Amino acid sequence: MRPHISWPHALAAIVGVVVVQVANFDRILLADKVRIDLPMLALIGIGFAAPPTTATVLGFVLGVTLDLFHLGPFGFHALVYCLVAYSLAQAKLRALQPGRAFLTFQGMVAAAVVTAVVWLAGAVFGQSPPKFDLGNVGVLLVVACIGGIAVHPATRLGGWMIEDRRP
Amino acid sequence: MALLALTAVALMTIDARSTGPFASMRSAALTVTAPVRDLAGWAVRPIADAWQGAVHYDDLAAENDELRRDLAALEGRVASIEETEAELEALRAATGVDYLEQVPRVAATVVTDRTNGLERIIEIDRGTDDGVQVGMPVVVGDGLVGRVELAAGGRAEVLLITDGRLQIGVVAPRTRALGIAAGEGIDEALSLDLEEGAELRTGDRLETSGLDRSIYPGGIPVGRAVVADGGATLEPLADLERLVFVTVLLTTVDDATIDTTTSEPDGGGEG
Repeated sequence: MRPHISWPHALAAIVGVVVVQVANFDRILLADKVRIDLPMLALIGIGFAAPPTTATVLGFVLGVTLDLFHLGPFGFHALVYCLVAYSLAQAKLRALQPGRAFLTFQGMVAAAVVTAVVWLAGAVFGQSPPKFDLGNVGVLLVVACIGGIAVHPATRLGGWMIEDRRP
Repeated sequence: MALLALTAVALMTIDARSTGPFASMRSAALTVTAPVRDLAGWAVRPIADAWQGAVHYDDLAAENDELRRDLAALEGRVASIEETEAELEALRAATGVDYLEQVPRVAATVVTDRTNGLERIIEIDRGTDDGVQVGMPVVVGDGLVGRVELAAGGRAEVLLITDGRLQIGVVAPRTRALGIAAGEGIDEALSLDLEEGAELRTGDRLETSGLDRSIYPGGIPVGRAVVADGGATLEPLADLERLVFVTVLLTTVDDATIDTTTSEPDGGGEG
């Protein structure tokens, strides 16, 4: 059978991640513009741990929850996150999975790409993303490093949100 | 996937047409999670402060030196400022241009200053219980800070003037040049769209025009012009980096036409 969403786990994880992000990590800049983005990391974990349909639903719920705490267009994060979760899950299905090192690499790439996609989508929907310059390439590199480190616990969190009913 | 994507697009469309239901949900989320967020923020604050101190030590040392120099200079200027204030009071009494003092206001403390990379939001400890409503201007002594974007019982969230969604009708008191300032993103100067033939120099102070379509009363300092290569930008006068206390002017779009500084038909930003 396909993996199913464990809603108590999923909702607890999503609400916890978003509240901790808004309360803490949105206030702490590690360097000039770099911050730890727990919802984005959770999204990557979901994309890597769940099949496409499940990942899309969880990405949507995570995005809607995040939308509650921001002032941008309501549904912006829901749209971006469900598309990104679906894309990550599809990529994961098609990508080679030889071990932890490759997962780290995938996490780095995913973190940088997802951050850039969110910035781009923000520009499309009238928000104020950082201007694309050399400094922000550095930001993306640091974000990629964070993604590479955090992808392992994030993927475990993603797996915790679903229950695999296969025997 | 397509269904969820369409749902999200539908949510954005509804939000764009009417903010009512989602604003209520956001207000509820703001109120319900405030104690949890305060607790989490309180718990992590020492770590955050230590981190910021470690990362920005050089900046803080330089800032301390600068503040000492500023203090010495300011002490020398106090006497002349008092004299200037007396003159200003006399001028106000003579001309009656004191409308901003007539606007009711409420002081607020900034309890959260956060960013998600796309927008920077400050959360203040005043809300609808204190008369704060969506659309009210938020200021500090130096000038305009932003606009209330979401208000709940005892909390409100403020979008800063650097946000790309805010537009402000401005006027340069020196030349009466009108224009519209628009946010260009976090830490960026505001873009300035001037009326045809407007005369402006670098360093000119601009303030809200308070014209017909503006949601801000006229006369709030906004920034100083930086003119270069035929274009102009606006550096905010308010120090948006270190907001601790702010003042909310309790005036909304309906009663923002308290007074204006000019009577030309253009220049009112939509805010």
